[in-house]
Amino acid sequence: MTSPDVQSLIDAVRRRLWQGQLYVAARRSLWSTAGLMLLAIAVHLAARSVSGGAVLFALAVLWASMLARAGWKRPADAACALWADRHLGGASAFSTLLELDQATPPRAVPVQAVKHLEAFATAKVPQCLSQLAARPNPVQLYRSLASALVCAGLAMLVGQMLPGPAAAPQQQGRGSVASGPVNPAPAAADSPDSAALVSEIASALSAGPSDAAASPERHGAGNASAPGTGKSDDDSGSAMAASDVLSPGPRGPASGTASGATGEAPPTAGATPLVGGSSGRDAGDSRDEAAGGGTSRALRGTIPVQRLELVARRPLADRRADPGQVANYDEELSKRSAVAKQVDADPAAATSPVAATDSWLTSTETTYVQAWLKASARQR
Amino acid sequence: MTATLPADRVFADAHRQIQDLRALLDRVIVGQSELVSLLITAVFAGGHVLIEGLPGLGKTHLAKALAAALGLHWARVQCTPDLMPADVTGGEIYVTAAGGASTFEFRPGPVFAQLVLVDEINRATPRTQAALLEAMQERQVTHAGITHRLPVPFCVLATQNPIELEGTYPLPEAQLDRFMFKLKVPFPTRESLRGMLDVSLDAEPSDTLHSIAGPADVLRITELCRSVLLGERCKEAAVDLIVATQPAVGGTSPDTRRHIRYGASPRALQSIVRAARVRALMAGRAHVDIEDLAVVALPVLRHRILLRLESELDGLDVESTLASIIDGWRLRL
Repeated sequence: MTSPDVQSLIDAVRRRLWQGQLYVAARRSLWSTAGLMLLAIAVHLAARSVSGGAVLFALAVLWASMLARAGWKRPADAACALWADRHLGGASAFSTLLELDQATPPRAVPVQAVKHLEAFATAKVPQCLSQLAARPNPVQLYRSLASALVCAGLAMLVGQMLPGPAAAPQQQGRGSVASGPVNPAPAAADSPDSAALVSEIASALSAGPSDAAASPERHGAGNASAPGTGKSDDDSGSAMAASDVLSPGPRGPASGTASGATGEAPPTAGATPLVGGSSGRDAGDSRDEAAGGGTSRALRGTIPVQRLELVARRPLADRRADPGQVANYDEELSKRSAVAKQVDADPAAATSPVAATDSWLTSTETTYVQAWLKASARQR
Repeated sequence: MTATLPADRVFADAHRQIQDLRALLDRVIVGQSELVSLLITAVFAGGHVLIEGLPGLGKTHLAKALAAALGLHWARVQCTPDLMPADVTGGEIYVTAAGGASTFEFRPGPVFAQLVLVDEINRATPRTQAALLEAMQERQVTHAGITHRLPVPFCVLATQNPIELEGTYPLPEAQLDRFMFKLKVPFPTRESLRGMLDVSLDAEPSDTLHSIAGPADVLRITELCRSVLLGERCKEAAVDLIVATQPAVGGTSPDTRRHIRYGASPRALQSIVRAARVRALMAGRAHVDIEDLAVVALPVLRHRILLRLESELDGLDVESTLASIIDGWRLRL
């Protein structure tokens, strides 16, 4: 009963409705994508526990389910005919014709009326097809697409600025080493006295004339801030320590006292910065429970720096305190102190301290010195 | 390319005849095109019409022209408070035959015409109104135990004057329900008034009008309208419209529950569908569309809705309430 022309119109309407369903699904997916990105940003800011892979997987599942659901729902002939009647000026002809065609059981209908209806519907098809072609798609994706892109860009930005837990320790180590040779500011909030002491130390260290003998080992002020040059720091430090041992010079009693004091320094306070240049923060920000209330070996205002021999530098990712080195350190300290005493007996042979830049504390060392001072203060 | 199927000749002929009738009446009745269409709709749908308008707007002229164009026998009843039922339906008279035998003979009243114009029906007494309305409903008159069938087609055009209501007997709602349409005759526009001067200044055009169809054509077209197809979508829409006027049914709009006391009856549903079928044929279709239902909705429901007293005192009228209900119904389609 339904003519081929009417069926072709119904098929065309079905394609349009199907396309509309997919557009709606795409719009919903874009809005959901924007919402998911915002949620991921919020969770990442709060807990730093969102990985890019999980977000991408969630997005893939979302899009696949939305589009599959839209594509699965095939518009029925009756729905297409009704849509054509409503929106293409069909005047209920297509839906009425389809009802007669699909009536079960077939009912007795006036033949003349059906014939007239078929003629009317067939004559309407070209006009309806042209209206369908000219009809714009009411579903717009601009806003949803823009929202999704903005939120995705924001999520990427947040992800780069605030990396997850895997990348955080690396950046943290880099940040602490890169903070400068003497950086009293981070710990200054804890103890203004510590900051003052640190600055005093820095000035004291930089007060001595540069030593030409120690120049080959000097690498400039930048060495203290470069994590890759920690080894060279130790090299210079060891050279400086050697020079200190050989020629305490202007330091005199202060250095002697300092060297003596350093020999009695608590192992935890001095060990870690001299072992591979690792950051004390790697061991955790919490108070070092193993640290005993040792006696400060440093004079107020001056903290002699003992540069020990170089130990094997640990890799950047594994910068943490090596308990084995503590013992080594202690032994070497005692040796140094003994040597220093011998050196102190002959002040005439003293040489000037090493050049200032090599004597500067690294940020890691500064941090440990400050912690040691704090512990000492608490002990008193 | 699309091959155009030949339209059914019967429907095409009927459509052409109706269009010719409309054109003829539009020439005679100036400025009342929609009123003419609805009158033609009522005639071919087998319904009766209540026309409300000020005096002098051409209501009688319209009925005469319609009867003349369709070749129908028409009669006029001028209602007054002393009009008796027998004056409408007819009665028996004692007749003496030529041979001297005398018998009672039933003389039919004016209601035994094919098109009856009842002027100012609200001036007749309730008893006379009842007799007329019974004839309208039953299409027959029973007198002295004898049933007399009214002619076919049979259509009553009753008129009402919206002013001068003193001494009148308003039709009760139960009797108003028997009229398919209630039409309001608007005051003509300026152009229409100018046209009237050209058409009906010195003579009544309906007096010289030639008929283009006969009673048989009216019956044929009426029968053809019954075969107009009605789809499920239109059926549901018609039912939704009637339900939308019922305040007691769940899901109706707040306006309906707030303002309407009594809604439309199932007879209104039948009237809507019958009238919509005629409108479909007038549009050249053999199937009913939603637009056909929308066009006849207000004339069918206007006199079947009763507002609450509080709403009437607030100045609300049936027209605006129905208009909002119909608009809401169309939006939901």
